[in-house]
Formats: sequence, structure tokens, C-alpha cells
Amino acid sequence: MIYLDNAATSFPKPESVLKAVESAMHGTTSLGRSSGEGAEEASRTVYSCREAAAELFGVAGAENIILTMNATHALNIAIKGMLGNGGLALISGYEHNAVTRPLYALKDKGVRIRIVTAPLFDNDAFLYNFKNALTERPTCAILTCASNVYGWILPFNEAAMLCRRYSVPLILDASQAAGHIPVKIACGADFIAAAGHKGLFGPGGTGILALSGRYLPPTLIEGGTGSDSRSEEMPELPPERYEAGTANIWGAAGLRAGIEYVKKTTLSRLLNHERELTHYAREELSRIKGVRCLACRYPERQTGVLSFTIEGIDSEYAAESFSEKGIALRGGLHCAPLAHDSAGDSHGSIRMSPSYFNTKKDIEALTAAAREIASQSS
Amino acid sequence: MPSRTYAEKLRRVADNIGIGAEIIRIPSDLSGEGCGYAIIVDENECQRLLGRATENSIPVRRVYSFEI
Repeated sequence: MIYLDNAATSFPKPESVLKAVESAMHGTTSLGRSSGEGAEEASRTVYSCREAAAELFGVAGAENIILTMNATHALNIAIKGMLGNGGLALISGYEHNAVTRPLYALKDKGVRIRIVTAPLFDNDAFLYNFKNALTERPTCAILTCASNVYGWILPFNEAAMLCRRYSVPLILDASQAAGHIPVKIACGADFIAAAGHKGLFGPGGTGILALSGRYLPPTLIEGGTGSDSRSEEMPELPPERYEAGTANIWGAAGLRAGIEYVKKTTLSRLLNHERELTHYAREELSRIKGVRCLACRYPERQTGVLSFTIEGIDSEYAAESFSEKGIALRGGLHCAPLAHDSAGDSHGSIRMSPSYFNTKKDIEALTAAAREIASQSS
Repeated sequence: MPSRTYAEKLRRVADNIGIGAEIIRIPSDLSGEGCGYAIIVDENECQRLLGRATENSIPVRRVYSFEI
């Protein structure tokens, strides 16, 4: 199988990640509960993961890295923590359901949603509309760094500066950015949510919430932390404040190895490789009659994610046809119906998202398959 | 220490400046809050490490002295 769905989860993982998980399974027990060498090793393992993530996001202090189940979990902590008492949420028109659904769930708490629209890949229009919306004094802004559907790198650094100027807390969704482009808390964000299992090459079931420390919102879940057990409340300080229950030590071991792999390989090498493959795919796919690529003419505004459609065939059926030919892609709305509506592409698309481990040959196989599928549908 | 994470952080700080440090669970007769962590260091190094803890924004709740 040729795997081109790394925007969903990265595959394969670097060998170092597999080894780190295996080693942790052999050598660690319980974090902050048991005694003994296994618990000590668990403590070192998890702390090392926090340190690696803190460095990646430019966060001061490993204690400001919350290890979560995934990016959705991280976003829920931040969104429900900041908007639990109602207020106005400012979001882009390119958000994932991981952002919109928690907000819809807060509607009965009085949360209102203001969607900043802009044509796909139009940074200027987005920033103009975003700045205007900030004058409405939202309680908080939530912004994806890069669209999971189109790979559009939104101008999040500029948006973060505007948020600071208007004193509006900002939650960045770095699910599609972490491991591809630099995302730093110093841009002005208050929270950065990221998936561990996508561009950071960690195992499934890992995510990160990085804190600026300016806000310590209420907790999403409560439970044991292995500390201050007589207290009826969760600890005041992060990370334990947001990490009730047994930690995913093995996931943290793999995530740390994944982050180290990204660091060693460098973000620019990873992104350049992905972009080269996407650019090649775009050129080849665009030659096929009936295929339409939703790509940006400015390559620096797009990650390695590319959406395309084939005339006369539904994207889900198309993805199934690719699968039958041994190519794993994703069709449909990609859990981001808002993004499709904003881009004027409400029927969905086929998405390809290569990783550092894909080659030009994989893209050649993709385009050959696309030729066959397009010819059958016309 | 307020948490295992801060205990681990202080242990790293201690290691970096050449102070041998060990994390232990605080005995229940000392920990009023129930379940906590402490760092054991040589008494002669205690003030130096406390200074570094402050510099690194590591909250230290209490200092205990005991003889081995």
C-alpha cells in the first residue's frame, strides 16, 4: 500500500519511535504512583517528552506542556476553559470540527461564534476581516495554523500579533502545522494545541497543549494526579492540573522520539520534501481531464496537503477507487465542513498528504491511478 | 514540591549544577496534603539549590532536615 494520508496520521513512524515505545513498555511502570526504578524511568521519560515539546514550541518550562490524548482533547481543554462561562468566540472559516463542535456544545452556556471568512489562500483578505472582527472584543480567538483540507497556512503569526494588540486570548490549532512549520508561543498565542501522531511522528493517542502561562483555565476533567490527594480540588499548577488519571508514558516515549526525529531532520527539510511531492502531484494531476486541484499559486502559503476533485465522481467513491489500486487517501469533508463551505467546495474533496517517507514514485502511482479513475468516470 | 513534574524539574536543575539529588515520596506524617514529592540533597547544597529553584520558578513548599 502507498500511504498518502499523513494529514490524518503519519505512517510509517521513524524506527526510533518504535524503539522508544518498545523500550518504555519494557522499562516503565506508573508515573507518580508506584515506587521503584520503573516509576523513576516513567518520570524521566514523560519529563523528557515535555522538555522536547517545550523546546519545539518555544515554551518557557516543561511544566507548561500538557500531554493529552490528541489535539481534540487539547483544544477542548483550552476552548471550554476559556469560554465555559459564555462569550464571543472568533474563529476562521477553515476550522476543523475539533474547534467548531466544542463551541457548538457551549452554545447553551451563552457562547456566540463569529466566523472570519476569506477566499481560500487569501492572506490579506483574511487578516483584514480578522482585524475588523477583533474590534468586536471577542472573549477568545481560535485559529488553525494550517487547514487540514487545503494545507493553507493561515497568517497565524500576524493574527497573533493582532490578538495581542487587542488583548484577545488566542488558541492556535497546530494539528497540521506541528512538525511542518515553526509554531512558537512567542508569536503571541496563549495556547497551542497539537496532535502527537501527525507531523511529530508520535504514536496514536498522543497530543500536546502548550501554555503561555498567562491563563490557567478551569479543568476539563478531574481525578487522581498522585499529588495533594487530600485536596478536593485539582492541583493549581500545570501540568498535573490538566492531567487527571494514569499518564500515557509509552505514548510520551514515542512522542519524544518523534519530536527528536523532527528536530534532527529539521522542519525545513521535512516541509520541502513534502512540498516537492505535492507540487509534482499538482502538476501531473492538473494534466488529467476532469481533475481540479485546489492549490495555491504561492507555494509558501501551503503545506504538503493537496485537495483535488475528479469530475463526475464523488470524493468518497474516488478515495475508495484509489484504495482498490493500493493508494490510501482520504475523501469527503475531512471533519471540516466549515472549511469546505468557506472554500466554495461543499461536496468534499480527495486529499493527498505525503510525508518525508514518500517518494516521487508514490506520486507517479497516484497520478496513474487518477488517470484511470478519471477516464472511467467521464 | 507541588508535583512530580516540578520535582523532576528541580532534579534536572540539581544535576546540571553538579548536585546529586533524589526524588522521594514524602512520608505521610510530613505531608499534610497527602501524597507529594521531595528532593533529597546534601544539607550543604540546600541553599544553593533553593536559589536555583527560585531562578527557575520552581515552587518549593517546605524544607525538611533529617539525619541519616
